[in-house]
Amino acid sequence: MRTEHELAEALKNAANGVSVPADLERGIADRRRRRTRRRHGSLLAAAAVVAVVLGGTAVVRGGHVPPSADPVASAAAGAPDVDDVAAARADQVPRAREVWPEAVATYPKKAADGFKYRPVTALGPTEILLIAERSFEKAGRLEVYDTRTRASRVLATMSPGGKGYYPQDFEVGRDYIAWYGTTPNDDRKWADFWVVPRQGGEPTRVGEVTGDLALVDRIGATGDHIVWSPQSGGVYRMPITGGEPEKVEGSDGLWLDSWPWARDVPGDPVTAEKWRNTNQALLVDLENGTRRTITPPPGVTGLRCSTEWCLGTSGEKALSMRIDGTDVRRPTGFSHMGEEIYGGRFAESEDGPAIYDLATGKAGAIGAASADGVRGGWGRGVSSSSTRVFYWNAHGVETKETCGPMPERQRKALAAEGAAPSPGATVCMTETVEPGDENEILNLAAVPPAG
Amino acid sequence: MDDTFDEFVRARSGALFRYGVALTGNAHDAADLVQEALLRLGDAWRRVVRKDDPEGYVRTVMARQHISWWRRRRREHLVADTPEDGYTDPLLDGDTGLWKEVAGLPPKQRAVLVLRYYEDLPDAEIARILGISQGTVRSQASRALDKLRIQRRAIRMEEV
Repeated sequence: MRTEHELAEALKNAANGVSVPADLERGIADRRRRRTRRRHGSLLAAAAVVAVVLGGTAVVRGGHVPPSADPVASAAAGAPDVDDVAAARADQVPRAREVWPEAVATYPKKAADGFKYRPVTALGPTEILLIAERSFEKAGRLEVYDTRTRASRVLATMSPGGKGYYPQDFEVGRDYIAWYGTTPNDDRKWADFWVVPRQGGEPTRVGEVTGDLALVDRIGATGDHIVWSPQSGGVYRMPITGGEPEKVEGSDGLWLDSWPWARDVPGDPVTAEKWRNTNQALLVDLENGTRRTITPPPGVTGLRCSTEWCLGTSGEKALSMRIDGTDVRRPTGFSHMGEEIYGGRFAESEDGPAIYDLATGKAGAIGAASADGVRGGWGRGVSSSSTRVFYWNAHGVETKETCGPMPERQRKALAAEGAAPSPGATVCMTETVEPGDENEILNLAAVPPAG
Repeated sequence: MDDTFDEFVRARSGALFRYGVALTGNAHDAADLVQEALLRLGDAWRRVVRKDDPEGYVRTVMARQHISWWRRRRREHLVADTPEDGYTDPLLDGDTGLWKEVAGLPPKQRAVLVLRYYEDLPDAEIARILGISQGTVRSQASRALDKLRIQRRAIRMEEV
């Protein structure tokens, strides 16, 4: 006889053993777009970005992933797509490797034992912090990869955690690397906090919290405390040696940016839609109490500032300035920038995609390329505060098409939508394949200082 | 469209896809199921978000849709004899024999097992999701477990 536990394991293994199709969300976007078109009788532009974020970490699937399993979506395309316009302009952006040769390296996709690597951020110009995952999103080890010696070393081996437990965001502090874990698929508001010395060692479980304090927006570590902001705001801390959570003095109405800095907008705009367009007006050093007030230029929304640079939107175009309000510029050639500033002075542009240096005006294209010039996906490091690494497949992407008889269900659905595939029609699935064993990685910590 | 819907899709589609694999037994049907369910969620987004449980809504849609699709497919199968059931992914470790047997169960029994052992839901919740009585949940689960030759924990034996 078998046990119920074996059944639970078999279901879990089966579900985790199948990789999530790269075009899954594209399919949803296409279906939605198709219906929208039918309703309004016009072709509406849709965001080109297909992103897969699982259990809280961010793997961005970039703009021009070769589409979609759906025959109607391609047949219906006739009008030019705004994506094409953006792509044409982005083609003029040189590759990041040409712009910042010292900052682009390669790293293996997998460890020797088959664990998959997921970049977190840069520890320095040649060191990348990686999570080695034993199965999808289940972190097994923290490793450091040296892009110069092309060798990795293990910083920490993590305890497995129970069913439904997932380590979430990681953050590099001066002395410690901190992270938290949750059980994202249940309704429980619960999180636990961990640290490991930055040079490596045994992870320490600092403690756990429940309720709204467990809805972590960002996390960090000081020399002796773990610090975090819940989505509801304020910065809290807990001694690494254990103890109760307490609110950091002067942190009312602030969210952690990257310790010791806090700001008056959350780190994660998902938590509250209204914050997306709100301008950041404060940057506060919680260690010494320094408060910098930021004055947004008229008409600017969604302003976000590092200690030196600010990025916002004005008239649907990106706008940057120094934090003191001088040097206001509109980065040319890019219609839209992401909301965050990376590595203190860089912005991510999703048309392209490309990374733009606010200090020098230089831009470098990121993302895997395919033979037909279509850009593939890219990933963003999964640190809690804004990452310093972006990565993509080193050997471009290929598309693989497999065709077979159209499922009757799909044929009927299409017939109901006005298309009329005959019985026995063929349907083709296009998959994106990422050949090779290496990714390219752009390390913003290795880009030379401006000027 | 509300940005929060896109954010939800980005954040949850992977986990929902895996749940879809557990329900349907293969990647193609799982992708179809997730996409269809998210499409419906998109239509109902504002209402569902007000009630604060988009994930529960979409998982419920998927479980029910899985059963109703299967019914329709079986009818088509009988009429047109066009087998098109998906493949079972070979990349599985552990008890693949057990997984194959799960894939062979009728959809309602299978949905009950997935909700109980993959989603860890209590029988009352499973009953609500599938729109059946708790007694039916228990009897479907019991039949499925018998077929799979699975030993019940004593406490559950008493319940049944």
